[in-house]
Amino acid sequence: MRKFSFNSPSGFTLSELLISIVFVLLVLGAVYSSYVLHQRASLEGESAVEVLQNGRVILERMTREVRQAKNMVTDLPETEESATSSIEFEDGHDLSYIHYIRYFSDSTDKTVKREVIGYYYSLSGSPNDTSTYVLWNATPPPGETVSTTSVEGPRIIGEYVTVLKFWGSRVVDVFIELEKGSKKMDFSTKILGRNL
Amino acid sequence: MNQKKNGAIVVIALLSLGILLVLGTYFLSFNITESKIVKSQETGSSAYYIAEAGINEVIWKLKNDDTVLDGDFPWKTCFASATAECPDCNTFSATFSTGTDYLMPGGSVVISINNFGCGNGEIIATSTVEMAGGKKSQRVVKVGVFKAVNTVLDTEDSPFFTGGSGDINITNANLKIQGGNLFCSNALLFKDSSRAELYDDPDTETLEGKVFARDDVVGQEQISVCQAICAKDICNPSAECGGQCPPGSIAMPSVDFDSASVWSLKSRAQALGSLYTSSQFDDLLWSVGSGGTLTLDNKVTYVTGPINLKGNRRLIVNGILAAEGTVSIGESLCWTKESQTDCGNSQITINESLTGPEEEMAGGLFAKGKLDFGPYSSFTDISVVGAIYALDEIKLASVPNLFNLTGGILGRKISFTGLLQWFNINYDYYKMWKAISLSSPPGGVLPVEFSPTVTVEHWEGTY
Repeated sequence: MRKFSFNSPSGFTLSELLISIVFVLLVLGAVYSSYVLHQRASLEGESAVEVLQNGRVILERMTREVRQAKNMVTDLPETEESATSSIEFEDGHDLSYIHYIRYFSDSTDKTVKREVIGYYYSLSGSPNDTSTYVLWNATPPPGETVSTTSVEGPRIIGEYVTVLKFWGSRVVDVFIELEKGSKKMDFSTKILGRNL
Repeated sequence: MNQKKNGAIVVIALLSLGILLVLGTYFLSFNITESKIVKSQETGSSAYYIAEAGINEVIWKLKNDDTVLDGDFPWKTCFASATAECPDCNTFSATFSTGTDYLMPGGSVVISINNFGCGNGEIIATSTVEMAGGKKSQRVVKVGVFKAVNTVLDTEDSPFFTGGSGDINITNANLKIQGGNLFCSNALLFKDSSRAELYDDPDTETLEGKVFARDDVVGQEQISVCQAICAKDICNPSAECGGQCPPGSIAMPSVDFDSASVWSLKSRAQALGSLYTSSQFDDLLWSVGSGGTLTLDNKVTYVTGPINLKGNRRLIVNGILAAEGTVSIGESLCWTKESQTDCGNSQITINESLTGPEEEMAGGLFAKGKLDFGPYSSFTDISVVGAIYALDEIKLASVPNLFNLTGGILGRKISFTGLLQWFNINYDYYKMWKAISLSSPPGGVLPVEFSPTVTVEHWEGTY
């Protein structure tokens, strides 16, 4: 066997070089793919955390408000098959004036939005005067109708929502599906409106 | 020298490969762990939300489910009171399982409730989500639930109380209550050398009863109370006072004296042939003569005016005696009628009805007006089993003998004055309510109404 020496002018043979290059490439390839895998996993982890956080925020906020709701406006169906994608109810937290909260999913930007609505008589009431707000099913004076105005919003509560469903009359069933990139999650829960 | 350098490249290559291998393994395990964490977070959150759903289902049951038709306990009833399915609500516990694939594939929840007392319990929901590879994600959510039973507990435990705006006046009198509390919708006034002893459990002879007054208690030092005085001026919002200061109000239980309903006392008496006018009833009493005894055996005897027992007569009522006017027992010593005068103390004894059904075998003395016991109201110990009830004032003044009541006493206002002997109440909730609810349609009115609201501890604080 030929002995290697740094002082030797002889160098490497072609086969030695080729073998080393292939070997180094193999190792580099393995390291790179491992790095890419890691990157992808971290990105997916980040997406998952973000999706989870959005789902949590939407559900927590919605749960709190539905639980305290004074009246349910949306006629929720019994079964999931005919579920609605929005829910409207009378706010039970702030009783300083009569107003309604609506949650709905917006498929254009994949968000869930929250809107506060006021109902008023078309002629005698003013859309900007909260003291004239009436119940959603109030009977208006002759010649007038009940109109609605947006008091607040619609504002985005959460993103990456592909499906939002409500159903169930005795306990409100909620289903929410979120998706970001390849990460997809869904959550189901039930909310009991204690004043309903 | 050259020989020493031989093989160095192998060492370098091996070292580099080793480092790369370690790095590669680290990255790989890091990825695997990360992916596991993400998956676990995802299923963990799903599990949490289905556990919450289970809790909400059970709270719905506690508010609404009072039937066994759905194959389980009547949760609503069992939570706060005793029924055949759950004889003791203090120790009521039940478990409810949602089955598999609840709300999501592989999801299931087991929810149990354990009562610490009637209307006070803890719900524990344990949710499980099956994951690939036979692994499971589990979440446990606990919440405390209770019904606002404060006022009901007062009612349940109070053998006598006033309704509306009336006070309880105790002047120079001795009261002993066994097995319950004392409730007053207004002020409770102890005067002169009065005494009150309240025993929750007669067997232990320890003073355990409670005094509830919506207004002040005057002369509180004359009450021998072990547990608590709960009043406006003795503010005690502790649990033993129902957590309120002053204590919650109690509506005076209503009795249907004379409505057209077939269950009213008047209609019942009419059906039994025991409906009298005031003068007819006087004639009955007069006819037994001085020292004679009139026994009323009907389930309900109803007088459409006042009743005045006097002139050395003894009246034994095996059932309920009700009057539209004032009922006076021994207010006068003598009775002059048809130019004859009978004098002497009179006596009334009230027993439960002898004819069934059992839930209608009630005893009581009911007045739509006032109810007075006077100084000639007995020649021996007075015994009443059931309820003493008056829409107006109940007054006991200078009753000469022991007054033993098994049941309860309810009036708009109650006064005890100069009782020479003890007034003993052996509180018997069942006997009292049997009498009070006799004028209600069967099943129409529950004697005890728990609040329909189920309160969830930290409900607002859990998000």
